[in-house]
Amino acid sequence: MAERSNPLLQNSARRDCALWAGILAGPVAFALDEVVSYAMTQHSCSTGHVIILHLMGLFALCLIAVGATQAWTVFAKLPEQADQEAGGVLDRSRFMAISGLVLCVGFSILVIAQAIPRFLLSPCD
Amino acid sequence: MTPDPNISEERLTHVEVEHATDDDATLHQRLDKTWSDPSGFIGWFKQVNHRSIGKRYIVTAFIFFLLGGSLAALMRIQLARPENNFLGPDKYNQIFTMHGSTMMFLFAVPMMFEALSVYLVPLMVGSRNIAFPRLNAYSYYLYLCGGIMLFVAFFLNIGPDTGWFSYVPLSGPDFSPGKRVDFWAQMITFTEVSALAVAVEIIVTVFKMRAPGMSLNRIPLFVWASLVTAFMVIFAMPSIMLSSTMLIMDRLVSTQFFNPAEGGDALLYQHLFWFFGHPEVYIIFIPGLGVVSSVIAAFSRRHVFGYLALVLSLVTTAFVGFGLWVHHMFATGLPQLGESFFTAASLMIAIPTATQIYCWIATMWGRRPVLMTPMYWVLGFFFILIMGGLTGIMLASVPLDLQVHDTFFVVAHFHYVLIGGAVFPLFAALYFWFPKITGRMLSEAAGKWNFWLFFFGFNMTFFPMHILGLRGMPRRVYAYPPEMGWTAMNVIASLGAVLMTVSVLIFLANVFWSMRRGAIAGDNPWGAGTLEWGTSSPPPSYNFLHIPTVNGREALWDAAPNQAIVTGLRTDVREVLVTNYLDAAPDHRTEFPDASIWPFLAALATTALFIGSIFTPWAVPIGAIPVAITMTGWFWPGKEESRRRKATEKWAEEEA
Repeated sequence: MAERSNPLLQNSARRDCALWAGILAGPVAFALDEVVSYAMTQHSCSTGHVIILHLMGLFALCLIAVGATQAWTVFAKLPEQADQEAGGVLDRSRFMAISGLVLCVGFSILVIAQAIPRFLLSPCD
Repeated sequence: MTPDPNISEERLTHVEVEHATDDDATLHQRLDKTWSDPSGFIGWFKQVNHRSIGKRYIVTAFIFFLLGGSLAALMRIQLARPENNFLGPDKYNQIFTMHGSTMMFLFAVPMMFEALSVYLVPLMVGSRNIAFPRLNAYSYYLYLCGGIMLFVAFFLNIGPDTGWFSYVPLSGPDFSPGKRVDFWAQMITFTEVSALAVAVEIIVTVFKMRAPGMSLNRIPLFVWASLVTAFMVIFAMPSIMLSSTMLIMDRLVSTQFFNPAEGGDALLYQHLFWFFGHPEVYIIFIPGLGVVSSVIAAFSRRHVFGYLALVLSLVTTAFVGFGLWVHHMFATGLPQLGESFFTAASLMIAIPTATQIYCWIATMWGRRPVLMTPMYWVLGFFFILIMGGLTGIMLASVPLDLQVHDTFFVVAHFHYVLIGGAVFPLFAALYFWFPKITGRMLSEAAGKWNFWLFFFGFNMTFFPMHILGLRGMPRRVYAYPPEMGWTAMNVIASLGAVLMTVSVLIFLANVFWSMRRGAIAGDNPWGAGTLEWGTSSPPPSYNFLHIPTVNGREALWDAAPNQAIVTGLRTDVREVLVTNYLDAAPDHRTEFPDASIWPFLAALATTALFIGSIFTPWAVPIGAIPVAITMTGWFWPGKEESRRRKATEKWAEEEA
């Protein structure tokens, strides 16, 4: 009965969009950061604008933060009895929300790992 | 026009979830009549059932495995002695290229992804067939034709000879005249179109045809692995198709995509190739992870520990797998900062793999798993894959990579990863699902001989290659002088290859013997929990008498005492249930096409187009005509289908 009255069941499209945002933010941010930074390395060398590379890393982390917030918003509204293994909409939503949060944490570590060399190496090396 | 008597309001508006009460024998007869594909010689080419096509994929890919393995054996004979004259340099070049191309494009991807997924996924999600069954048949014939074309070229001494990745400028028109590289490039087109078609089928099957109750958080791990792989195929394969098409255009119509003298870029080819090539390793490896999860759960008699962690590891591996491609190009003079991004990603991809290994160990912990042949292969997989993973982490380091680049160290590394990550799980899968596919058990005794000989043979063959590489032996040399000190390790490697050959022969003997005389398997010989074990072995033409519903992650273990089933689907036409993609709630029903010769004819027409375009660009517009004709025949609805459709439309109009 608790499930039926949950506000998350009222707006399924918004809920699922938030859940997918949580799941996809990390991978998308990582991909963008890696590809754009890689492509911009030579440009940074020729113009001396190393700051672009740092900004790209920062942008990726912000993107991940937005995704994590979306996932957390749904997660916080889920009833405590929602079970990752059960077959209801809220149970499945809990599974997706936790997935989104874990992926955001994991990919943020990856983005940070890729950001560290930007402080240590010159793009012209 | 009179409405179809089989169509009632109830049928068109909803599907009931009820408990089994029907007369099962009558239902079996009706369903079997509807879902059986034609038999006989011509009928064989018309079949569209996922199990028929899946078995063909398995057999064909295994034949290519044997052919690729035979080529490897020839190389080991050649390298067993210094300055050996068994093979000349030209034949050796063709053989190592054919070996790599066969194993990667004709065995590993088709077997690990297409074959296993096409056969198992519809059964595991509780469906009666795969989505787009005619496309499935078409994809198989295209793959078969591509493989045959490559080997015909090889036997005519026009086999490719520039390595399985055919780098430019070596593979360009200046350094590789003739048609050898063109056959390689078109083989890529054949196999990638085939893989893309199967990827679409798997994604639609998993998202839209799951049994009610199998919400996203209850999908079996093998199905998750297939789904993730299918998405990887969709994003990776276009890159290789693009690069091979650009290569063939440089060679045939004098475009200059990869010619720096005319404004092209040779490194562009490497970027495009490895943007596909590195994810391909994971395309081969991820289905194996699904197999391992299935086998460990069944033999540990418990749910897999850390389902969420395992799913997320698959997803993470897939995404990060696309971010590693430049580590194959560390020796090309790229900026160090640019390389460092890929070093970081290459090191960190070990984390999801390690997570999975910990989850599997936790699953087995304290349960004393039943040690039968599939488990032997899984435990062997642990050892081999960890070895390959460790050398992978070493190679992610730029200084070490530059030192051992293009040496036998790299050959050892990727064989540990690919054979450990794919062939060991494949044998586990074959021993595990052979009873489901054939209805008979494989011999356990022969299976253990198969395993131990392969395990020791594999390590004898490939471990010495690490040492050879560190001592400087380059890959792809057909001979070496005796004073280099490489002879002993090469002899050991060649003896290991003998053991592996004997092991595979034992497996073949086991298969042929067991198909006729093996113990009868029964529906669920391992007591496993996923849906494919809930139907007979081998499954009937319609897979499930009643479409099942699911009450947990291991559908059979978690089933309620009187688990609900789906009723209301038509039995006189190939009707299937479509469910929504997140929660697998019943959505609507749709009708699947019957068996047809058109996919086979369309594949032949496509083959003519692809092969013709090796010789003249005019083959493309001219060859498109028979392709269009056969595709039109493919999609042209039959009389019965038209009548049913019109009746349905009329009924819907009246209702509106």
